[in-house]
Amino acid sequence: MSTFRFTRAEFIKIFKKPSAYIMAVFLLACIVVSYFIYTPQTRTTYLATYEINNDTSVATIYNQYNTSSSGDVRVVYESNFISAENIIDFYKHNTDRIEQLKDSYTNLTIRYNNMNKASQDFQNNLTDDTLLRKTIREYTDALYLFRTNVQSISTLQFYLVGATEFLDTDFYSNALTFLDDLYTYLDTTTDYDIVLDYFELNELNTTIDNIFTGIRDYQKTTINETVTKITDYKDTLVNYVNINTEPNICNEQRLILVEQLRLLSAYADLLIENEYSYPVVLIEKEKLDEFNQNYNAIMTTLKSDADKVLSTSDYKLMAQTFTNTTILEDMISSLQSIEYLSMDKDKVTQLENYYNDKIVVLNNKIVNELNKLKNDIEFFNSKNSQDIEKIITTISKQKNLSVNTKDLINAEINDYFLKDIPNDDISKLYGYDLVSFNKYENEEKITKIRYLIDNEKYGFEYNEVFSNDYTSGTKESAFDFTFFVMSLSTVFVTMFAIFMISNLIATENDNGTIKMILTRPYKRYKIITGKMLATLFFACVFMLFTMIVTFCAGWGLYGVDMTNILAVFSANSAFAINPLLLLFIYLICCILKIAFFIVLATMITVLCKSFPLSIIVNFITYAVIFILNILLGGYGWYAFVPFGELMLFNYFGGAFRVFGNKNFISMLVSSPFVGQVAWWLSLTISFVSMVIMLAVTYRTFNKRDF
Amino acid sequence: MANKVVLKVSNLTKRFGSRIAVNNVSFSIHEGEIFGFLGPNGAGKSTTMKMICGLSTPTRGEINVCGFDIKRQREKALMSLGAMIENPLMYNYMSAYDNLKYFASLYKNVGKKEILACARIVGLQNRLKDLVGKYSLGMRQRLGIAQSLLHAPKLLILDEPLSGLDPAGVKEMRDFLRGLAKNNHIAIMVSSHMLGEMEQLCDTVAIINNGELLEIKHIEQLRQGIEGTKQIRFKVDYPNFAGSVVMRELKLPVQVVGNSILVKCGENRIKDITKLLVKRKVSILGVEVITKSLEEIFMDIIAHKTNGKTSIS
Repeated sequence: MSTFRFTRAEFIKIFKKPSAYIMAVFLLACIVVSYFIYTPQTRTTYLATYEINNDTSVATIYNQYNTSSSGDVRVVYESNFISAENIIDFYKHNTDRIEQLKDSYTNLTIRYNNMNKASQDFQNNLTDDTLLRKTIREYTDALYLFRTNVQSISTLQFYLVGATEFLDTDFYSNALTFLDDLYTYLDTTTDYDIVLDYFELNELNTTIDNIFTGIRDYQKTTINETVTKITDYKDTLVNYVNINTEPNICNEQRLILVEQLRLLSAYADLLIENEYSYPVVLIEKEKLDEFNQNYNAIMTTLKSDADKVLSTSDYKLMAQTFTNTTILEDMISSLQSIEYLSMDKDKVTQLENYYNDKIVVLNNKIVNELNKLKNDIEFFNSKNSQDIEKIITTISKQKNLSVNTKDLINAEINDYFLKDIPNDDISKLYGYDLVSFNKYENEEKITKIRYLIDNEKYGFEYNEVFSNDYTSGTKESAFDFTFFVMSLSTVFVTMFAIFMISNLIATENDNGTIKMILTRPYKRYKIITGKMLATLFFACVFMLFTMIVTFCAGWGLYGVDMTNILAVFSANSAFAINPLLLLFIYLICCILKIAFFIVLATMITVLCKSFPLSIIVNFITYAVIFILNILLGGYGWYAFVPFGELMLFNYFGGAFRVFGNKNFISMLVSSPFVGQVAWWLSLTISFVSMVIMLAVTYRTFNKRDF
Repeated sequence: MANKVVLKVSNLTKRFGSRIAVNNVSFSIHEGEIFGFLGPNGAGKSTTMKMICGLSTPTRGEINVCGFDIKRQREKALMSLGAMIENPLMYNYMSAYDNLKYFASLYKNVGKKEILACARIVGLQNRLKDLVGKYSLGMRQRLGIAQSLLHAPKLLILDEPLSGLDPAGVKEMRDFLRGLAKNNHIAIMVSSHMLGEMEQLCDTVAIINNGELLEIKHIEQLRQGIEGTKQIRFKVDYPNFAGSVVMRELKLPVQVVGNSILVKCGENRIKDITKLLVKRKVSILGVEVITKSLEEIFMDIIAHKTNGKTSIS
């Protein structure tokens, strides 16, 4: 015998039960109560607003738009466009520089670490100062390069003028603040001073090297060769010339020079890789005094410089300083914030092209239209309300385009930077609170705005998707009211359905009437299936009843606007749809959700056998799921729980969801939605879990003896 | 009687954990036969009948209704079967008519005509609009029978259909069931404790105890057995003398009890015994036919067949 025959019999039986009618009355009461707690929601005004009285003409409106500096005016709209262009340029020019900065930062870190290690080793007397000096030199080179790169990026900030009002996320300002601070630090810090002093010392080292290299070179060549070496170090270095002298005078002078050079070497000892013995210099007699004078001068300078910087205690201080944690170190560690200053070239180009090809073109069209209207004298001076409406609509187009541009750029940037970060981690990013940010909603926004721009629409041509946010109303709608009541009644109808299926199975089990059914020519699973389907149809009747009654009431109370709604499905396809059709889709989604709970309740009832037990377990389960939805709804992994994402309608853009701070009623009626899984995956999870529950139910019921 | 076999039960066994409730039971029922299932409480009657109706699953064995195996062709098998198990339970919030309508709607081609006909058969045609909650037990029984007949089954399974009925009700039910079997050719399987009633109602009687089928006897056989256990008591002045005379000359077993002799024979021998005693000048003070009740026979059978067998419970 067919299951449907049995379903039909059970369905008729349900409507002979007094309890069914009690539930119907209760439902009606709920609808009435909902009317009193319902407050119509705000509909965003998309049109530009101007004050209109008897004297207002098209010209008045136009002039206000064209000349004022605040309100719904050209300047304000254009600032959005300018900011958008600036942002795109910022990323266009910044990316290479950021790459350089990142590379120099990496290099700097490596050198810094090497230097620290060498300093440690030197302090612990594991090595001599050779390696330390080398690493210090490398560090200071890297630091100079880093400083230059920081400077080059800071200069790009002017592109972000006005961006802080335009962009709604904080991470750029953090990055730019960081770079500013870093640059200032690099300019003024003592650590750097020491290093810079040492850098100058490096030059001294080179010069002295050169002197001795020169002497060595001289030694290699013949005495008769004249070698002139000139090096200048702060304009005080000496020229020395090779001349033929008498060996006695040379020797004497040589000894003096050697002595003096030995003194020099004692100070410069730590810097010089001196593998040679003290050199021999032959000098012209006449030049000797001059040499001596200059040499003394050199030695004085060298000595004072060397004393100042190279005395062992100073040197040790310098070595110590690098082992302390410096502010520089702290700042370098937060350098990752500059990630948000660079964007993939392809992505920037894509944005730029979209902006130029679509947005600019569209704006130009609007501007042309406005100009045409302005040049039509008759129209321009008209006080006709239709004409006024026409000019306002045209201005509104530009308003909406500018707002959409701003939203789109923001959303694209958010999408780019935050795409691969799990929702749970976004809020922990860099200390600022992005808890209200949801990647799925962001994607929806992008799809919706692109649809509008691609189709030359501006938003006011469409109705809003249903919502029941609690704010004061300016435009009421039968659809909102119906949606609100249906979302409440789904909760009650689910409870009725759970009660009914328990009654159909467990009560019959308790009072024995089930035996009258089990002897009929039906396979056992058909009996369970028939009861479930009958309960589902019962729920459908109630939901349909709610929908029709509420819609008619809403029509009478609030009126109906049949303008198409712009809906987004699964965050990547936007389409216009008749609101009545969308309401039916919502009805079906509610029924699917109820079906899940019916299957769950059936399984529990069959396992619990008796009616009191099954009712208790069923309602505890329902309550637990309810609470879990509220508590765990924000976590991404919750979507994988079978009862986690049950309301398929959430995938239609702008649908009602719990995320962030919403009111109590919304938490009550909505299952959480995180958008972390694709709609078909969510559907499959629910479906598979239903199949498993059915399998358990059938198996238990088939094997049972009555 | 080469009637069709309507129910064939082979090696039916039901085990609950370690307890065997029905142990290897086999029997068949033919068209138009009234088959009685007798046994003490807990013998396994209800369990067996439940398995035949599809309310529980046998551990082993086969059940065939009109040629369809209940396990493999459940729906076809149950099409030919109507059942009323234990108390007939209906939906109290619906009228009798709605109840019947509900059950009727589970079958094809069972409509208003059939509902009214069944109601007429059980005599409830005037009380159909009342809520079942208001019915008396007898009426509920009758409604229970009505619902089991809706789809014109070939086999009716009735578990304790006479329980709770007053003597008039019992007679009514008996006549009704006999009528069904004879006129509509429906095979009926009945279980009951009321042995006397069973004896008057059934064509065949099966005795079951501790899950085992002890005896299946046609009612004639049982009656003969009863006949065979008849004794005639003659109250006489000289019992010993009378007893020896009867024993010697009529070759009948005699027992002397007080001032009477008990002769084990049928009623047809009273004539002969009286003639003989008168001939021998024995005064006959009273004649009484003593029949061993069915209950005694029943208890005998149970005791006899259970004796020597290990009890399994």
